[in-house]
Amino acid sequence: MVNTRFLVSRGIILLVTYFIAITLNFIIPRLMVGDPTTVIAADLRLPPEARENLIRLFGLDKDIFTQYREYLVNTILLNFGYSFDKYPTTVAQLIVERLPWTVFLVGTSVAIAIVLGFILGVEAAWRRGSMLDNLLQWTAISAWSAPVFWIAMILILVLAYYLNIFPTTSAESARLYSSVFDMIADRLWHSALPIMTLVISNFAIYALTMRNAMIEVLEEDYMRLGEAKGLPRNTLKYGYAARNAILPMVTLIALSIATIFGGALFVEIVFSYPGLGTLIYDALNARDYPVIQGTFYIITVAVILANFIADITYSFLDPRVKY
Amino acid sequence: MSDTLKELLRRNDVLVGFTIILFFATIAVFADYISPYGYRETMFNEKPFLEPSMEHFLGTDQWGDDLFAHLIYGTRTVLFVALTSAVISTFIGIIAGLLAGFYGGVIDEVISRTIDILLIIPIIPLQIILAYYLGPSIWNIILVIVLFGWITVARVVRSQVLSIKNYPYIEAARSLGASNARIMFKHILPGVSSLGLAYVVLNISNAIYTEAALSFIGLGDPIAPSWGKMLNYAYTYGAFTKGLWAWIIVPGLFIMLLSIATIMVGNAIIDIYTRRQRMV
Repeated sequence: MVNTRFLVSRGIILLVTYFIAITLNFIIPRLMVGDPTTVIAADLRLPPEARENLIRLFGLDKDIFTQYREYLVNTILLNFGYSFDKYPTTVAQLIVERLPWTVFLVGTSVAIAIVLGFILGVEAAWRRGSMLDNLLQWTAISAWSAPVFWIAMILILVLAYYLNIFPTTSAESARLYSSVFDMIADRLWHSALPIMTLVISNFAIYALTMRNAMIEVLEEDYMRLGEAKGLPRNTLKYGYAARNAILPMVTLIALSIATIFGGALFVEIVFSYPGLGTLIYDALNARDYPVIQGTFYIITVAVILANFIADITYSFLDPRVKY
Repeated sequence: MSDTLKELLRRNDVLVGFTIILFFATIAVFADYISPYGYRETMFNEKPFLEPSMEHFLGTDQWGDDLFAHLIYGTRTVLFVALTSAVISTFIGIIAGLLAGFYGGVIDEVISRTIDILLIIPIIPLQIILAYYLGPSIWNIILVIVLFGWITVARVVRSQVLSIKNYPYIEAARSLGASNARIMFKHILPGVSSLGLAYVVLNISNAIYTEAALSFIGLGDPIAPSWGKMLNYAYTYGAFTKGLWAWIIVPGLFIMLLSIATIMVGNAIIDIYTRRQRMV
């Protein structure tokens, strides 16, 4: 059963968020000192007709309200113009090329981190005060404090440089593949370290949340009743306790999506992984303003969509939810 | 307040946390006596990419600058940015939380919905873009941290104010004719002040992280040394492909240690606060 009222009110908030985000994406580049027609569209790397085209596209010769109206239309139509650095490639083309890599990276690591966090959290709560439990708390606080790009650099130093098990950069080898399996194996081998970095940086906070929620459920009377009835331990642990303790973790997942996306950008930069992170990093260094704007837009949309999916999941898991 | 302090000092995690924080504060204050060289003193005078040695404890960077000096002087920048932004964002958060919780109605709606929205927007990319267009400087980094640092504080303070608001002594003050402002600052604020202190400490850890992240992608202050900048150089000039481990490991370890210490102290204060609340 889906709670329509909850989803509608969440949907409205997400829609408002969307408009605020794209408005910020319009305002922030205009905070820069200097005349936008010269700064944004007068890049010498562009041929004159492309410059004309850009000025018209962003309406830079018009007043700010017309600019904003045209910006909204262009954004919704995914029309971000040309890349300054890689002219005549359009920003949309670049994003379409890079987005699947980031989605794969974030999706895989979040899935692994959730499963790992769930199991460790349940076990730690079940054995409260044990070695595993204490270790988990320290891992969580350390993983939270360690910068994700630093974890990435240490993994490269140890596993790629000293032990030579994994490649240091990129997402695939520069060679022709003999088969599809060869290609998949090679890409997995290349993404192992980036995925490992994101899992290390995120699993412990899920585990800790799961543990704390689980400990509260374990105090409930029905747990003692279940025990007295002689229910099997795993039914008690997973069917009774974990099932009822999962909601805080779902909330945390929704809240952490934006953070993990941010972390993924840094991981991609360290590994030169061809996703949105390296796209935005290269664009920052090359002063490629249309690419910066387009990438931020796509990240925002991805995060908002992911939030909505989390909300739907939430209302499935807990039909009582109210907003 | 002094009771809280006494209770804090009786806890082991707090003592460890305080010691670590004191360690970094000492480094920041006595940097001139600890570091054998000034920041950028050996730049272009020494060979680049030197391994750690007795002369250069952490080796040298791509310009021959002493990395140990960078680390020590970087502590000053990091502490300055972290403390300043933590204090300002906690202050804003407390005011926003007080107003929202105390007045309710439209003010609460505006503040609460703003918080809802800011919790969804991907903050790190937004901070990157803001820092990029505002231009690289210490004050812009502080601004970018403060803009989003108040959110958690405001949420927690708001919910605390909602419960304190109904206590009998507030009712009593009101019947004695105390003004809204007086009730808010004289009677409610002291109730959330130790929570405020906890968040100043916890916000330090967030600020360290953000400063490091922005410096890492090259959006840090171009003049000031910082741990994030060391890692940026290490990445840009491939320290891991040269096996220069100290250059990579030590700055990150400093970031992690200081952050862990502040989280331990901050959580301990919150812990004591919630236990007191339960007793009331």
